[in-house]
Amino acid sequence: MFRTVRSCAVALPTRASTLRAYHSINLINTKPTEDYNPKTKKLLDAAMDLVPSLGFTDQALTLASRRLGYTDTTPLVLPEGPLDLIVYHLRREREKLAVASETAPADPPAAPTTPDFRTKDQRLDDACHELIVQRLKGNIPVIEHLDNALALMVQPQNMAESLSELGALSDEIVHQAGHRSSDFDWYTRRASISAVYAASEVYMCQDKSKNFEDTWKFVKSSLEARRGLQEGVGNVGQWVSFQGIASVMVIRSLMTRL
Amino acid sequence: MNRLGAAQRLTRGLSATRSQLHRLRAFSTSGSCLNDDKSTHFGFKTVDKDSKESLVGQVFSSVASKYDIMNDVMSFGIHRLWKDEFVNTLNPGRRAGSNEQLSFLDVAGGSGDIAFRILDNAKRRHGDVSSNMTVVDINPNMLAEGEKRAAAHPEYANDPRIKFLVQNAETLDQIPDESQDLYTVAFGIRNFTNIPKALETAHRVLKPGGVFACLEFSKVDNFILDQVYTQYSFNVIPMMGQIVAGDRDSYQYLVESIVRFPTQEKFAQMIQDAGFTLAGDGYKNLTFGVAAVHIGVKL
Amino acid sequence: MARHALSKAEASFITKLIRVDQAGELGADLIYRGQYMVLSRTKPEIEPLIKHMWEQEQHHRRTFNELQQKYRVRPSLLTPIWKVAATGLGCATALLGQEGAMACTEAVETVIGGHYNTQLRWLHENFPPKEERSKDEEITSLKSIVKQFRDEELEHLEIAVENDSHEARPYWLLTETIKAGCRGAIWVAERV
Repeated sequence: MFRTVRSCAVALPTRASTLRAYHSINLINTKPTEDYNPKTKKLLDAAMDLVPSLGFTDQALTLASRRLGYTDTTPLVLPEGPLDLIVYHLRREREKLAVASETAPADPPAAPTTPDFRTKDQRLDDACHELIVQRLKGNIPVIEHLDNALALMVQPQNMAESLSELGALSDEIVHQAGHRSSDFDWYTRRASISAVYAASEVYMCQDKSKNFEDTWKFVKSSLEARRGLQEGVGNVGQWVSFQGIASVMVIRSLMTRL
Repeated sequence: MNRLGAAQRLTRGLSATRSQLHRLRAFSTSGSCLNDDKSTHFGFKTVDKDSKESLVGQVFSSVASKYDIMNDVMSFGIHRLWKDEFVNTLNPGRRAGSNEQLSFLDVAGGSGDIAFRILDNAKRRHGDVSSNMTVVDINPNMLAEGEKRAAAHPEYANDPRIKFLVQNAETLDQIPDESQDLYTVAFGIRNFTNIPKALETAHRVLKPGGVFACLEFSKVDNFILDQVYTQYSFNVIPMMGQIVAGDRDSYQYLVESIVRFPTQEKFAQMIQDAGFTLAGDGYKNLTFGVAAVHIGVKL
Repeated sequence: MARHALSKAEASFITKLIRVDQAGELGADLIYRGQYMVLSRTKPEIEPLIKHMWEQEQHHRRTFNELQQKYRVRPSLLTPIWKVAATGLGCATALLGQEGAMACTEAVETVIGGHYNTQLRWLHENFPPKEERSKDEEITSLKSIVKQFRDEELEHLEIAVENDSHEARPYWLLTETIKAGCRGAIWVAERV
């Protein structure tokens, strides 16, 4: 399975890290569904099959439980009920992103067409765009019930869990896009991708265009707007440090005169 | 039971110092803290295994008629809220779309508190008026109390769905294997002689996917509150038991049995060891851990 | 190479280790940079010495940056603050003269040397040589990095003492304040 090369104007691949580096110790968990008890996971998978028709509801859990030969009380194994189902969906989709990058083949050698004039930031943004779209496509089967899910997720008692998942998702996207940082922009980049993703998901809930094309355009324009902002912030930083250096020079020149 | 002088009893209560309690809690790593095969604990005393049952029986026979008052004294009436929250969390009842009635089993629930709440919940929230309820208790006096209340109940008098049986929770010999959808035990399990055995029996009688739910006094998670609660338990409760029900020793036993009970995490581990899958961490604290709800599912 | 499961506590400790050490080396790099910027003008004789120590810190910083990126550890949130504080400290102590700069180095290296030592001890206790997973390349490399850096930091400590750090005035106040600040920064950087 080969990744399709993007439109002919761009020759280079969009994702910087293709084959995931293999580490023998893992400090972060990129495969969260492996932590679930296998029987509970089976129940959740069965319930997820019912979500397109029944939504993220207790009915889906009850029916799944009956189908597996269990009883009406079995969904009590999930203390938060529908929220646990939603969180499972989030984790499963995030894991798919991680797994896709592991199994992606090494980039085919770039076909020599027009040279790539994109800046590094633009390249990263394009990679992020591709990943965000890929993740959003995972919402398509459950799109009718996504707005209810989001409503449940933003309730105050559930916010901590939702934000934690959003953070993990944006970390995965930014890392796979190839952004590497040891500085404060580790945070700003992830915050910006989180914001873009959250806004796009809400947009997607009410998008009636064919194949959600409007949503993909929305993602692209959001990323561009944020890139402008980021460059602006970077420019302010440069200006401040320039002013600082200039002030030191001025003071030094004044002092030598004395 | 040995009747001590009032002054000696008071001293005994006050001498339950923090270090003593912590030492004891460190020992209560299993439900039945055994020094050898023959003996077990009865509150802070060590007794013969065979005699624990009858000693507990004597306690409950003596408190049966004043059970509600005893609970109100011990918990300032909050026990009603705990029981409501317990049944609310479980939300028992047959969901729409099925014709099979559910079977509920309430163990050591002689007085019927939980049983009636479960049936109410099934009816009000799910329109379920066909699922059946079995209330078992080892103590016939407590059970008789429950039957009396059922007979006086506006809705459940002479309801064939409800059965009362005298049963030992460690064997439940009249309950068939894999027959129950929900097994509840509220403020009863700390009195069992052999808790792991009771958990195994619960596992036996539950259907695949069935739920074991336990509401019990537990360890307070806040240090200061724990001190306040301990002092209240050992100094006030037995005295009020003497005043209200005329039986100080039974209440002394009850308070000691609470301290002896394992911590939330330890009990959750015991439930898991019996073959249940825990729901989340396995427990939910009520009122800072004064009581806790433990839920395990037979998956 | 087998993939080893770390317990939650172990994963958490190693994550904190990488985060705090990265922040620490960032601080050390900028302290020496500040000192170099000032002392290379006011006292050119010790410029090569400071440059040598600075370059070692730069290597340390690069190493931890690589580790942080490799294991996808979150860097410290207060990185901009550490940058400003470290540069300020380096410049300020260098303006007090060579003795001041050396006293600052002595204080910082004492705390950092002890800190690396604690981490090394933890690594050896939790990944004892007998265990199978301790033989893994990534674990042994982590141990050797921490050990080597500890030795180099202590070397800097000795150099600082040799170069009149004790002559700084006020010696006790300066060193104790800096040590307290370092310990506080370490505590914060582990968590935030």
